[in-house]
Amino acid sequence: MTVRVHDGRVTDVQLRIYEPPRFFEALLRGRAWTEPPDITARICGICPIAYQTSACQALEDACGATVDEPLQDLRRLLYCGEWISSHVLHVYLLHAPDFLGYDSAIAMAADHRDVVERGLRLRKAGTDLLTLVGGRESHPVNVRVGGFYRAPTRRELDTLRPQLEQARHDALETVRLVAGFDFPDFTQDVVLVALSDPDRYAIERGRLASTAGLAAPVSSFGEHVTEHHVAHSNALHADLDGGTFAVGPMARFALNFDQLSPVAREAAVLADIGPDCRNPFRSIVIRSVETLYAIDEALRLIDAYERPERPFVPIEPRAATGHGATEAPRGILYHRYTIGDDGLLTDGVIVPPTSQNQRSIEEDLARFVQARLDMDDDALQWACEQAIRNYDPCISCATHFLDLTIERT
Amino acid sequence: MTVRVFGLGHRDRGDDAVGLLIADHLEPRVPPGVVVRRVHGSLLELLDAWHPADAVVVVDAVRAPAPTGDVIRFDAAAGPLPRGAMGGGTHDASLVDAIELARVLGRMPAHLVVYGVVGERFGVGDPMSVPVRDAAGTLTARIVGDVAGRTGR
Repeated sequence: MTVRVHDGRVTDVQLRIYEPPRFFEALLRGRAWTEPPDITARICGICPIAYQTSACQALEDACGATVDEPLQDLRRLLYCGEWISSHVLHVYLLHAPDFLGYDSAIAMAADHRDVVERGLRLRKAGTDLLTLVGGRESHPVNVRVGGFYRAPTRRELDTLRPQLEQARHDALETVRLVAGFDFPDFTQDVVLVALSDPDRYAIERGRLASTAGLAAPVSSFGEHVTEHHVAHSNALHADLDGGTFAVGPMARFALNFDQLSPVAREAAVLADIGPDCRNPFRSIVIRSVETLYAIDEALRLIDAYERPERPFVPIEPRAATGHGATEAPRGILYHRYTIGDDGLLTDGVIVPPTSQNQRSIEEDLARFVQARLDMDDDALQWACEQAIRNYDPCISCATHFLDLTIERT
Repeated sequence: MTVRVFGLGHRDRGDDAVGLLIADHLEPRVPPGVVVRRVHGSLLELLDAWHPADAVVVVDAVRAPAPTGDVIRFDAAAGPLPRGAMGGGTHDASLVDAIELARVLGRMPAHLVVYGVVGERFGVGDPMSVPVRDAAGTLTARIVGDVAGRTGR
């Protein structure tokens, strides 16, 4: 990260991501229309379900197919597992150590053993759900266009219930814990964008919505969101109708708060956080409330579960373009595919949440650093890492990843 | 005491598959009751997969300034592994992180030996290098001996 300071004013912040492009969109061209869920799941080890679900949705859209409601519910249940495991990994192992003043979760565990044990227990509830419905925890293998290869039995899902009930209790304790952290006084003033669904807190489907009044179908994503190459980074930067925007938990809270379950809403009230939150440092509280919601929702879906008559809807390919978007733990994940006459893909576009947030991250950092120029460079570097981790980007997984250069003139 | 052997790695990443290959070789050669598992996902799962009374062997590929195919042995129960000894995952806890977290939480097995096989090719689709493939055979025999020493069979 390079910060340029002239006469005591931050004039530029550049977050340089060196990880090379992986060309997933290019390698999808010429592949069979059924392959994106498995290929794109490999893009991320933390949120493969997001990739699989957005891909399925886009391909089903292209083929004009509608997936049975019980299968949609099963997708949502699987997605809840990913939200739980991803959010808990972030909250307990990556971000909480920042707030409690530790170098790492290992250092934190020495003083807060019960806290870390709770985090591991919670995460396992999520990964066990992923394993049962998805076939395995990492890059699940049970998802296909039109539904699943195999739908679990009611009895299999019932085995998760005691663990999820314990997890609901643990998640409530998590909200209490993180609500007590000290948060820097910092607010963000950008448009927030999330999916929105009139029937439920949007996770596995929805329409585009924003705090600036956007209400549009997912198929219009490309008309509003544009990705750009920037000279200083290999990560693409995106804008929304030319302006900076952010996706993720704070956006979901802002737009869909009223659709949280009663227990999650009550926990939010106890944590003194609501849809008006604009402090990205408090995203850890929102993630904790969303973890509670995902557990509560998983239990509701298991209660209502009846094994679908068929595990997938048979779909015939057709030459067309389709769009899909879901709420990955980090925010909207958009896919677009074009299928040719021969059933092979002629085009694929994937816009992950991290690229949508890049511009917002840099703008946050500029204002954050401006107010902290009196800090020594080591302390400032640590504070900036914490600020970047507010967005839970993939690059935050390494605990100490930042090389901070401040150029003062 | 249960003996558990965990092979770590990725089948499609050249030498990184060596832990899984050794697990494949071991499975038909160890006595009944010895658990052999392949770990593809989060290494934090190890904390739940082993128990305090167990004797555990973990095998993974490593990058190290040593000849390809060399085997490095760590007695992880005796003390912390050198940081960076076993590389790290890009999305989750590394093996060193998982072991040190287990140590802090009091969730270490009674015996924990980690074998690192020095690799040179880790790209997607790379074939396994010949020295690593040879090391897999030698190390399998060594672990069979370790297991026999623990189980008396």
